[in-house]
Amino acid sequence: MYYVLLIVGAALVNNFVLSRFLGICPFMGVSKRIDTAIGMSMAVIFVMTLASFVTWLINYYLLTPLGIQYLQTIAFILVIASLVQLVEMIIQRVSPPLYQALGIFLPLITTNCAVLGVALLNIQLKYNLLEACIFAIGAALGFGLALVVFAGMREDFELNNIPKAFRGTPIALITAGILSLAFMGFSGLVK
Amino acid sequence: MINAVILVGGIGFVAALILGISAVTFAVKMDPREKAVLDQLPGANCGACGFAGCAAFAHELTQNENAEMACPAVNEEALQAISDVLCRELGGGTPMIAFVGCKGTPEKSITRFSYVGPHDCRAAQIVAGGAKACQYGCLGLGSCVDVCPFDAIHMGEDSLPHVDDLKCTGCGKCVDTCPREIIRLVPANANYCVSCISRDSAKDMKAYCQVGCIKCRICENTCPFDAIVVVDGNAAIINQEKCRKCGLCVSVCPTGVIEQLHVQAKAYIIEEKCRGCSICAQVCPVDAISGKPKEPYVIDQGKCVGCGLCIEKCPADAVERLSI
Repeated sequence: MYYVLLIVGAALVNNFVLSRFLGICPFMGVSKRIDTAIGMSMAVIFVMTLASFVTWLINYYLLTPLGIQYLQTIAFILVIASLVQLVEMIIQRVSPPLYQALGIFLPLITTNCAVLGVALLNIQLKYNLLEACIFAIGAALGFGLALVVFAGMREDFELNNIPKAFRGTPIALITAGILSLAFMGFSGLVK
Repeated sequence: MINAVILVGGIGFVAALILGISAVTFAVKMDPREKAVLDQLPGANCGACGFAGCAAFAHELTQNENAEMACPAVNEEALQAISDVLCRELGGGTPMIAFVGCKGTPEKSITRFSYVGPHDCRAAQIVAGGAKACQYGCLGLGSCVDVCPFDAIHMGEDSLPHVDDLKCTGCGKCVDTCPREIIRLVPANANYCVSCISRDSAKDMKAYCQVGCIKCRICENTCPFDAIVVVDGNAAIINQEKCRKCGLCVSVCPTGVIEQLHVQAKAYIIEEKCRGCSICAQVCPVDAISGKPKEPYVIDQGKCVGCGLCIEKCPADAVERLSI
């Protein structure tokens, strides 16, 4: 039950995009079509979980013993970026279909702030390794949910007669704000 | 302090080492020709070739010995370069451009009702068959503009789409998008096209459009080359293979529905070469050439329409086009 609440809390209540305002760049950039949004979400779930796992190990087995936790940010960025590059290479060789599906999205999110954010939060909230991974999955699911919902709304904009000054990014930002307000309704769902 | 330097440097070093080794171990062998072919393709990923994008098509071209050049947007130079890379000749076909077959501006072609729905021709077409009284007329909401991957179509002040023939590559996306099939592909060197596809009779059409083809057949009777015909109640159609670009049809059309796409260079006679055989004067469809036998003939530039018949027929190669 605790782990379910952890996922719900990360996905809905403290949604990374709409409550914590992390990862706005891909939220705006890859939300024009639902299918690309789904591809991006899959890549985010994959990278976030992997990154949480590795950065947790780095933090507790390298940084803490040496007493240099203040280097978290730079060390995490370094590790996440090279890890994703490595995974991308392996996928390209081992599973071309998976590479076709995830390939272009992987490099896009290597140093994304949502990915780095989940790694840092894992440490700040003092999660153990299992909790950290579950929290990352929940956060990534929340990111994917927000992205796909938003992409669905933006697809509908194509058919609406929007005033010229609001077309494109302006109306997207306004909608994101309203969507964020709607997600605020989840606060209090999980303590 | 020293710990920090060693740690961050160490992580960086180890990561670089692993990445370097795996770049070699997990390297996916890519045909170098594929990159060369991809560089020559337009890169708009329009999908007109039937593949997922330019990269996918480049892959197909290099891997499949029998793959044809399916990209309609590739120019001659690039086609030659790709043929060189692949060491086999690729047929290109005639370059085509999109042509909008309607001149019905809001002033000249009336609407039945005021449409306030999604700003999209396909959606507008569903609502009682579109707002235009003419069921063959352009709805003017610009779905073709939105879909063009080359930014080659723009809505004009007249609420009709206009094709930029320098940018248009003939990929045909707009042709597929237009719900009324008004846009069609014509050879890029075509000079005259009929801007109407209506099958309505002249009587019906007069009620709602001033610029449609009324099927009067004057162009058909005027054309010296039988290139323009009015058949089965269709609007006049120009056979671009037969058309000699004389432009007579434009001058006789009572509704001005035939559009001139390019200006043809006019012909002139080189006096020193002309033997005065009078063949040019006989073939000229617009009687622009005059002169006396055995003396150099002269082309009246005011009358010449640049059809090029005289150039072809002259036995002494004495006729040439003026360079524009």
